[in-house]
Formats: sequence, structure tokens, C-alpha cells
Amino acid sequence: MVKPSVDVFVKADGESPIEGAPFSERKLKFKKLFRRIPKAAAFIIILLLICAIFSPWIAPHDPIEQNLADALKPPFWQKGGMTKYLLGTDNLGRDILSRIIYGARVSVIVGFAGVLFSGIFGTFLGVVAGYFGGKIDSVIMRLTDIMLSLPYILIAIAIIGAIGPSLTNIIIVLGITQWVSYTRIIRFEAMSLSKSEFIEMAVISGTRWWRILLVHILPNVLNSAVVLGTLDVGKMIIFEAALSFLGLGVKPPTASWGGMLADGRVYLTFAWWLATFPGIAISITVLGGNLLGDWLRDELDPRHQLKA
Amino acid sequence: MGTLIELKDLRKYFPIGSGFIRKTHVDLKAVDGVSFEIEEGDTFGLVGESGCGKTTIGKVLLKLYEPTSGKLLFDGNDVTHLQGAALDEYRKNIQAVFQNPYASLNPRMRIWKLIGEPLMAKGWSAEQVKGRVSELLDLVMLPTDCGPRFPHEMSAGQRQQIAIARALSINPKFIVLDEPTSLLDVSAQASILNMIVQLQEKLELTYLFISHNLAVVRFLSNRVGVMYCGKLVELADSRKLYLAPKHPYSQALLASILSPDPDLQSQEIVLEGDVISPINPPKGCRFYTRCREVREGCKENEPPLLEIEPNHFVACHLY
Amino acid sequence: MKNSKFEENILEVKDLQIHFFTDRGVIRAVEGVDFSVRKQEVWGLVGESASGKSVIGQALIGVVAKPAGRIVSGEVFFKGEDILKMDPREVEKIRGNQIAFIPQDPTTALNPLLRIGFQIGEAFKYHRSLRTSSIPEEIVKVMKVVNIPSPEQRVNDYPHQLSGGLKQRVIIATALSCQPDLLIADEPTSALDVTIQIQIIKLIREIQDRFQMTMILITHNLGLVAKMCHRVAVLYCGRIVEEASVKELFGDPKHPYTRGLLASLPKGEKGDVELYTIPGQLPNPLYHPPGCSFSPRCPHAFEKCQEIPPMEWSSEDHRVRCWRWKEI
Repeated sequence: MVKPSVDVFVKADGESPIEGAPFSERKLKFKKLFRRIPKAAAFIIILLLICAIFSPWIAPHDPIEQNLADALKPPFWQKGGMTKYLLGTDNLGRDILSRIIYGARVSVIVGFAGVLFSGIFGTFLGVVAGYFGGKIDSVIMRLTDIMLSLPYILIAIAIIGAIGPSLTNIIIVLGITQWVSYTRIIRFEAMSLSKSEFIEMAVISGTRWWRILLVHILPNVLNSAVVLGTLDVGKMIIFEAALSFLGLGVKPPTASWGGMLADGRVYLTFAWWLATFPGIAISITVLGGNLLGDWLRDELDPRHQLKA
Repeated sequence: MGTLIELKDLRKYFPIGSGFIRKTHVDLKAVDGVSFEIEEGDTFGLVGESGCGKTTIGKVLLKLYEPTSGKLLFDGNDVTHLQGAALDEYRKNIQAVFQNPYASLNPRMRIWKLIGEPLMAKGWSAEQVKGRVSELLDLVMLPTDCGPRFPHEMSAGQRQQIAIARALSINPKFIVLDEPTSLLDVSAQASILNMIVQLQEKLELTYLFISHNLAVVRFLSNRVGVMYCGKLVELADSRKLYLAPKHPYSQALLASILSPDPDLQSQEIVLEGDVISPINPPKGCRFYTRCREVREGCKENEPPLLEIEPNHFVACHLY
Repeated sequence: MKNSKFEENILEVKDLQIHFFTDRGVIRAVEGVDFSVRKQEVWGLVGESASGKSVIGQALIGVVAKPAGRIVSGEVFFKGEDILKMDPREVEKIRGNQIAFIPQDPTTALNPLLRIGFQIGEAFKYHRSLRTSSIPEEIVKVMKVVNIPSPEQRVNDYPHQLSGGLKQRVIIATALSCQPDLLIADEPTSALDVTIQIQIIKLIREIQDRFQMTMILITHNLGLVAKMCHRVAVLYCGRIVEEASVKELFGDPKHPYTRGLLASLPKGEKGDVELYTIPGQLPNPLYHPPGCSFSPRCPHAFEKCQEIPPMEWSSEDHRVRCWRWKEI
């Protein structure tokens, strides 16, 4: 008997009959269901939102209450730890767990608001550049080049130095500096869309340019914009962390994950829990955002809807 | 029944070449001096292979391109260059159906919105549009409940029906059909073609049918123009052209029709040689590199389009 | 008659079933196809989109899209041996060498970054152990066979420098380089202009004659079939519904689908007749109708059509899959 080939010509599936769902078909149906809901992402996002919204009810302690006698207590499973402070305390005796829960507020606000502002602005410029082309496109592209050549930290320092550190100001800075990634990608999509036949048809039908942008181009780039946005949430949170690290972020004693990272840096070698837990929180949130972005990209496309 | 569309020596050139070099101005001469007329109620078939300029003519008529030179007349009025309100008026009379059923419909818009777009652009309310869309769906023989659906739920043939419904929504007089059936299966093609014919009678439409499929053009057209490299090489009534084509290129084109009849021994004309580039075409006849009847003078002198029989024009030195 | 030339079968396909397992369900692209192709004949496979014709071509050459596509059952005997059960290394020796493939779109079939000479020569290098120095010569030789003008210069061209017709010639040259016994062509001319199409048809016919190749032509164009093929099979929803010599199929079609197809081709002039249209739509590839897949659209359907009709011979060279072929 000749050895059955494996790679190119897959051996005929002799065992499973074709009529009546064979094993492989049943596995597929399950996979299909599984795919529809991004379980991990949903879990993370929901957890994040619960922390942010219900922080006063969930957090075991006041995040800014100092208790110097209990400073630098390790997490409860280590020697010296107490169940009163599940994840330990920082150098001022503040409960790490509570600060992380309250810190979610800052992250959620910065993440979503930052994405919203930079996303809206960036997408708008991208659509205009892509559709009109020519001089308008050149001007917008030069603008993006200028923005890219300036390190956002410098701009942040300049702006925040002038108007002072606060949550709102961070969002302003993020909005002003982070729109470029949207513009470049959306512009490319808008450009290729503008050449499609259905845009030609819209022109022939007598549709005005602003309606074309709004009704034809924008919905078709929205997919990409939303995906970019969800992927950017993580970036925004990390930037906030960086700004807080530099002291340009949220004013202490408000809890923010970035600020906690900054504060915890010097203690890393002997009181690792100060910086590590906020770091884990940031990582998980970014992961959740990425997973959500991937899922959204598929779901938002009407072509991927299941047939009846 | 008068002349609805008239093209007079229409030219459309596309400048190519980098923007820095201003002196050497190179043009892609997509349409290089084309003149013909379309009578009201007729179907004018424009045939040719890729790159001959037939699609460009369609787009110039639809005002997606501005003509480089020449004149365009609609119902006797000069519409060569239009702007603003005059352009809007013109757009009400002329619509189009394009080749690709997947690319010509916005995938994110519901069908009723797609069909009603020309109306919404004019300011109709959603209610009014929905009502009209039901009528139109009936007209193109689509189920009236498919309004809220998306294009991807429909087959290719049905999408072309949607495109036709959209073209008809504002009651145009003239429709440019650019290869509407070339990407469809045989069965879908037949029903779309039938529909196109019926609608013409019912709604008194005039068509410009652009295609490379000669059997389809023959089925639909009264009058046919054959294009090659931006120029019209033959122009005649459909029947005359198909029975006795005069231009060597028309003859080759017609000989290349593959008919589903194994017994039919058609004369095979195989064209050898290279096609001329539309960038800086030569002075003489553009077909001379591939023509079997080439002779003295073909290379240097461009043959004019002459009426050799009543209403039958050919651009060839043979005549 | 010509039939005496076609004695042996070079290819025999028995009960081939190819399914695609997707998130949305199983697409039964090919549902039990049996056919044989005789030596040196041109065998046509005709069908509309989603009929499964391209998939059959892909299966014969071994490029069914994994992991979704699987040859679920069936046997493909090439020169007497079942290539589906062969060792993959043995199969690779056959593919490109004894069985060659011409895909539909010459533009996407050629690597835009490699010179055409290199691409034509790939098959040589792999299948024929030629001295490297003699390969360029062989490449030019095969380019001459397909009538590529000035082959010595063009060998170093890139695909974008060639016209559509020339690109298709390059593809044909690549396919021919090892002088295959069986050539499978999937819509070889649909991406080309009509006058170029005629050139390529003539070329393929000459080559087929000269090298005594067998050819399988997969297409939706019935006119092409009439011009090029000796025998033809009509495919609908993954099953062959009729197979006959070209003359018989066009002259005396027995299956309602074949009749419908032929009747709906555009003919005549403006105002002559309305074209016949097959009612209904092509079914969704996920849900083929039970029994005879054509029954929902068939003017002659009756209760028994819920069962799949068997293939029956109406004459020596003509078979039909229909319960009522005798009556209609």
C-alpha cells in the first residue's frame, strides 16, 4: 500500500461521512461562536470599566490616605504582608490595590478621550487629504511631517510647562500630537476609495462633495479608524504613564498608573510591588485594547455578516 | 426624434510625465478627434479593445472628465464645459451603469439608499425616496422588500439590477452603459440584457453601450462605432457593419467572435504585429502596424473618416 | 473519424469530492465528479461561477486552497496511477513536468520582480537536470515556440514591460517548458482582448498539435469551447450534468441546464428576439438544493428530482444526468 500523502493532497477523510455533521463540521460551529465574542478582551474591558466607575465601592481603602506606619508593606502572600493591604503599600503607606483601582479612572479617561480627540482630528484630515488630493493633500502632508519631526515629549513639556499639569491638559497634549498616525492611514484609504466606481457613481448622481465625504468615504474608513483607535488606547495610557513619570502628568496625590510607576522606580529592587502591579495593569489594559481592536475590525465590516 | 448627443472632434488627452519637466509635455491621447451622433431612442454601440478610448468617451459624456478640445452637444445645446447649476441640470439627464457590480455600490449603504442617492442629492426626504425606490425595484424586477438589505447579500446580477434602478431614479433621458454584463455569468447576462431592452421601450431611453463583446453589441444596438487607438475607424448601422465590415480592423474584430456553433467555419483573421502606443501616436493610420491591407501612404497619411455609403463611415485609405 | 486517435485515457477521475470548510459552513464545491480524458484530445469543462470548475483544475494540479479546502474523497488516475494517494515528492515530480497549468490572469501569475527568462526557466531547473549553461538556450527555444518576438532580448524583460498577450505567451512557455503530456488551462483567454484571444487560441492549437498534448480547457465561454474542444462536460453546482462531443452537445443538448445556457446566449440583432433566461439564481454555495441541484430552476422538475439523478448514457458518446432526459 502506498504511503498516503499528507501535505499537498490531503488524504481522503474516509471515516467521517459527508452527510450529517462530521466531527470537523461540529468543531467549526463551535469555533464560529467562540470567535464572535472576544472573551478575553471583553473581560478586560469590563473589568477596567468596573474599576473606573465603581472605584469608591470596590476599593478597600482611600487611595490617598497616608499611613506612614504601614509604609512599604509587601503583598499579603509574602512575609510581612497583611490581608488588610492585599497588594501591599507604597512609601507613604497608601494601599496599592486601591490606588490601582482608582488609577483605572485616569487611564480610562485618558485612553478614550485621547483617542477620541486625536482620532477625530486625524481622520478628518486624512479624509480631506485623500479625497481632494493636490495642494490640499500636500499641505496636510507637510503638516504631518512637521508633527512627526517634533518629539511629542518636547511639545508636552512646552504646553504643560505653560498651562500646568492636569488630566485635561494631558488630553489636550495627546490630541495635538497623536493624530498623525490616523491621518496617514486614513488618507491612503480615502485615496483609493476616491477612485472606486461607487464614488464615480455618486458624482454622476449629482452628490455634493461634502455629502460624498460624509456618506461614502467616511463610513468606509471608519472601520480602520476604529481599529486604530482601539489599538491606540494602550498607547495613550503608556504616554500618560510617561508624562506622569516625568512629573508632567496627573498631579499627586491622585492615583495614576503612570505616576505609580514613576514613584515605584526607586524602590524596584527591594519593594518591587510598587511599580510592578501598575505595570501589570497597564499591560493587561493594552492587551485588552488590542484584542478588542482586532475583533472590531472584522465585526464592523458589513461584508462579514453571516448570511441568513 | 432628433439628435440627442453629438460629439464634434472630441479630444481627451491625459498629461503624463513628471511635474518638474515642463518643457517636454507628453500626452496620453486617449481620445483623439472623435465625432458621431446619437439619435434619440437609439442604442449606440461603441466597440473596441482595451485602450481604444471607448470608456474615456463615456466618462467625458458623464462629465467625469473635461474634454481637452472639441465640442459636446446635448439636445442641441453646447455642454462642452459646464459648471455649477448648469452642470447639475445636465446631470439630471444622463446617468450610468458601470461594469463592476462589486465596486459600483458602496458596501456600507443599504440598497434603498443606494438607489435613492440621486434623489437624496436633490433634496428628497427619506419617505419620498423609499416610495420611489419601491417603484424602481419593481421596474427592475427585484423583490420590493430588499430595500433594507446590503449589496453583499445580493448576487452579481442582482447588483447590476440595483445599479440600473439607481440610474433610472431621476428619469434620465440618456444612459451610458459601460460593459454592464462582462463580469456576469451567462444566465445573469441574459436577464440584464433583456431588461435593458425592455426599459428602453418602456421609458423611451437612449443608450450608449460600450463593450468589447460584439455579440452583445449586435443584440442591442442600432448603430455601431468601432474605435482603435483613440480614433473612430468605422461608423455604420449595426446590421450593415455586421454583414459587411469595411475597415480591416472591424473585419478582424468580427472574425474574432467565438460563436457557440462548432460547425460554423468563420474566416480567421489573426492580427500580428504590435499595437501603437497612445503616447505620441504616429502621423499616419494607427492601424498600419497590424493591418493586412497596408500599402503605400498608410504610414504617413492619416485616413479621414469618410462617408462611403449613406450613413456608413470608414477611415481607411482603401476607400 | 477523429475518434480513432483517442483510444487511451490519460486521466481518469472517479467520484472526486472537494469541500471547503469555512466558518460559515461547508461549501461542497465538487460533489462526486467522474470523467476521463483521452490522449491528445481537448476536453472542455464548462460552468458558471461557483460551479466548481476551477476547483477541479486546482485539484488536478494540486493547489486546492488549504486548510479550508480538502479533497474529501475520490481517485485521480494519471497514466494509471492515483496521484491523490501518491507520495508528495512523487507528485511534485509530475506537477510542472507532466501536468502543466495555465492560470487565468497572466498579470497576477507572474512575479513582477523577476525577469521573465528566470520564471520560464524555473521549471527547467527543477525538472530536467540540464547543465546550467544550456538552460538559457532552452529558454529561448521555448519562447520561440510560443512566438515571442526577439526572444533573446526579451528574456531579460520584466513582466510589466509586456502586453497582456505577451504575458500569456510567457505563461504558456512556462507551462510548456518540460513538454507536459497534460495541459490544464483555466480560462486562458478571458483576461485578453478579443483579437489577442484569437492569436492565443491559434497558438495553443498549434502547440497541442505539434507536441501531441492532451488538454483540459476550463471556461465559462461556450464559444471558446465550440472552437477548441473535442468533447465537453457541463458542470452545475459541483456535478457534471451532461457530457458529449462538442457537436452533439451544441446540436442536441439533453439536459435542461445546457439547453438553458445555449438559449440564453446573445444572438441576432436589435429587435429580433428576447433572450431566453434561466429562471431563478445560482444557489448559495453553502446550501445546494437537495437532489438535483438544478431542480428549483428547471421547467421540467417533478417530485423525483428530490433524488440525485444518476448519469445515463443517451448514446455512445453522450451522457446526461437527468430523470427526464428521454421525454424532453
